[in-house]
Amino acid sequence: MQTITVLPESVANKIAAGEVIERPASVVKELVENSIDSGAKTITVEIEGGGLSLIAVYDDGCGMSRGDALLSIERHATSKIRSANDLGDIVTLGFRGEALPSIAAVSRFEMLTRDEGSLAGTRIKMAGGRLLDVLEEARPSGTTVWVRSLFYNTPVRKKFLRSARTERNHIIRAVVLLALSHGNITFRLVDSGKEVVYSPARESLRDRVVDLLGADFADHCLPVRHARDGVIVEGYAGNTGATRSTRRDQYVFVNSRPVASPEILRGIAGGYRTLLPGGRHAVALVFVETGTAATDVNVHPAKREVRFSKPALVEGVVAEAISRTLRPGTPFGTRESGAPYEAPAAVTEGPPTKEELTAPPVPAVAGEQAEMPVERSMRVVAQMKGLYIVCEAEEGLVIIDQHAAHERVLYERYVRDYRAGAVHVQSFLIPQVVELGPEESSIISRHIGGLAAIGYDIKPFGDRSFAVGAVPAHVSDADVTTLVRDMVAGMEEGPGRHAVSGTVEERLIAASCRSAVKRGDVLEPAHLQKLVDELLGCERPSSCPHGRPTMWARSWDELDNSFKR
Amino acid sequence: MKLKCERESLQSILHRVQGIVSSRTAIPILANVMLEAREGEISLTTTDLDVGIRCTCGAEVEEAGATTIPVRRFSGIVKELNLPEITIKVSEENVLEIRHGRSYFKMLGLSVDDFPKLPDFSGKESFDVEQGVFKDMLRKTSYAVSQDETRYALSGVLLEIKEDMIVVVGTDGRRLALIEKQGEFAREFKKNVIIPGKAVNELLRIMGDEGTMSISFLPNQAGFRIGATLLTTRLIDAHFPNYTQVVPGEAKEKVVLNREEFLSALRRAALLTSERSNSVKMQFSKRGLEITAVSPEIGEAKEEIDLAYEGTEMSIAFNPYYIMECLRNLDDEDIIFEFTDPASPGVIKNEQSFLYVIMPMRVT
Repeated sequence: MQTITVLPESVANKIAAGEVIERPASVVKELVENSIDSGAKTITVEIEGGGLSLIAVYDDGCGMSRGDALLSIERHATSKIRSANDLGDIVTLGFRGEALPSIAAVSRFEMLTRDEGSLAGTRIKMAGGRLLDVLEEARPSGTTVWVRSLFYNTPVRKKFLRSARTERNHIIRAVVLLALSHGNITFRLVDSGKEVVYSPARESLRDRVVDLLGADFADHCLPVRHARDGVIVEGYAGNTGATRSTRRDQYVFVNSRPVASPEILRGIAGGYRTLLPGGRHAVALVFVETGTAATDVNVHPAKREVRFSKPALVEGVVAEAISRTLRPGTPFGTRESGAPYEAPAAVTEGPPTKEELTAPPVPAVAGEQAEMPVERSMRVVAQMKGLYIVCEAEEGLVIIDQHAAHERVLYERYVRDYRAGAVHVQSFLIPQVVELGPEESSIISRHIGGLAAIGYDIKPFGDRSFAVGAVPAHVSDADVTTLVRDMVAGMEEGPGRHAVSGTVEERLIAASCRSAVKRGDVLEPAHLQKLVDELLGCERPSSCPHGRPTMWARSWDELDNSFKR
Repeated sequence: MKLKCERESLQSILHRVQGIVSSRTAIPILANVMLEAREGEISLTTTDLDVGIRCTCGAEVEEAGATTIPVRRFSGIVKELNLPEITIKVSEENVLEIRHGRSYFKMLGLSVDDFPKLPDFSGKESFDVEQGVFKDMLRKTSYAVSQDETRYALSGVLLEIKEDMIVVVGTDGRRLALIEKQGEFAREFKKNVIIPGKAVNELLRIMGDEGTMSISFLPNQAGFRIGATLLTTRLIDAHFPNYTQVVPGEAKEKVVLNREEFLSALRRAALLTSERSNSVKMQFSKRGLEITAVSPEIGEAKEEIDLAYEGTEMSIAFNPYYIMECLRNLDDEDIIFEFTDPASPGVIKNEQSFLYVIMPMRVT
């Protein structure tokens, strides 16, 4: 029998360090966050060898006295919170009091710091968590931390690191994320003497984006600004022409903290619904402000995740914000057009209606189109190759794909019809019993009422079993167990939004594709004009429901340039 | 192997066996038909591992033997050869040769050793039934079978044999067709099996209207002998729902409708249903029966049928296609339609022991 022993502190520290300090980028993140919290105006990060040989962070923040400096390297020593109550209202990036001791436990660590009140700075030297030396040294107020030979005493972690190049890229991303969310601070990242990131303090977010992500990124984005029920969403949404094969270029922040948030990523995807081709992801920069009380950041040791008290609300507001931004759909000058800013709390959230539950989440507010300052008329010039419609608009030349255009027109009509119609529900002879896992059961129990409204009669049938007595007729022969499971999977955020509307949406898209005019259909000029007019009347005229573009445009200026006029 | 046989009889048995052969099969030999020549006869066998068919016809066999050859091409040759008699020769190496007049074919076969054996029903207890009767029972129930493979237990018809009664039931969970025949089976024989839909469709193709057939069972197989043809099938190893629980008790209202009139009214009304609005409303009142279909995005249809109705006025929604499928497969002049209220199942009956239960729809 093994007996139980309390681990020596050095081992415990290494274990804890494993959670916080995953890779060199985590060190950079923790140290830069400390600098931000200390009120620094300028933060410089130096790295060598992908951060494994050296990470140094210099700041001009408030610094620490000798006593505080010595305390800061103790575990759970922090200036940022005082009691558990403060956890509900965290305004600083850090709060756990783990960063410095964790880093010090797995590296050769040095820190030089001075606060305004001290005459001399304090230099602390440590190795593998052991305090080696404490010296006095001159320094302007602020803190410098040097981390050398990271993971030298944890060979396992070191073995699992990627190449120095990969680690360097992670560090760059960590610095970029923090710089994006703190525009009033100057950031510099220097790799082996070469400046990789330089972003002076900026007034506007757009300038920051240009500095950090490039002018190209900024040019392909539309500003996002939307608020509802205390959730404020700001940032940039890439236009539908700028897509990526991964979500890497979706930068998400909650209360100025870079996070990985599935709710917000789903909200972004929802906002782009039917606008992007399958497997493509938009570029986006999304800042969500919820107030500190509505989020819990004390979920993950590295604070990469947050919990929202109302996740469905956050997802919904993000989706709204994005889709409002994209709606104008003018083929010209995406840069100039912006979404109208709506004051917070202008819209209140009532209980979900049947329309909201069954309809694909494409915002259809017909009355709002009036406020859109968008060119709404084009003159058809010709049809080419039985596919392309050439149009003259006020701002330039537009070529429209007739099939894609008609698909979009039909799809939006079908969606309207779908919402107008009633749900036809087919009962079963014998209810089908579906057995679910404990988590699934509790989710579905909460949504039984909402599911009934959209045509699913589901009743509890003993422990974790549910009897499905009826389903909407249009889901005819699907396997009910799989269907219910899929619905539950997408239902965390509210009944029916995902699985149900997804199925319906696919059918509507398929139907619009079948009925649309095809390539090779030669159309009368009057018919072409009608199609173009109807397309321009659509909520989202710029892409077909599969997400392919419907039109291609060149402004007169661009044409003039091409002819060197 | 060497034999001579009538082209027409060979063609007709080939037609019987080739229906179950899939053109896309992962096991190449399953695309083949097994030829077995014995004293005075040739038999052909095909299988897809679930269902197997063997069919025999007379032949002048000079040299007995067996081989397997691709059934589609073989059948094509037999069909196109414009001669009363065909001579077939197969070498030890499974090379088949047909030589006739100025035509010559050579086909490469595969050894019978790799061909799956059909289950052997010899010596098993069997019972006899009139082909016409059994065919009628299958025809009136098989359309209700679930087309959805995930509902395994419902993907075939239930065949229940108890004392001197035979019951066949088909259901997809939304409607159920049931037919019983009594007193026509002399033997005491108890059985409760599910026959896969595919086997039922093949049986319907093979069975005639005259003569008897015999049915026998192995623990997980059933065999149907119809004249010179044997169809074997794996049985569905699942629990068929308790159908007696689904059959409603005494209904509150009952009307007699002319089947043809009812069917054609439904067919017309169904023209204005859509994928989304796929129900018709049946309204019973003193004025008779009114069938309406409303699709907001298309339009509406209304059909009236004269009916002396004294019961409670009510309207119930049904999927018209479910009713139409049932009516199409009946032969009666009139049918009985029973119902209780908009939330309870409707029932179609005929003068014999046929029963069709259909769940109503609800429009919210």
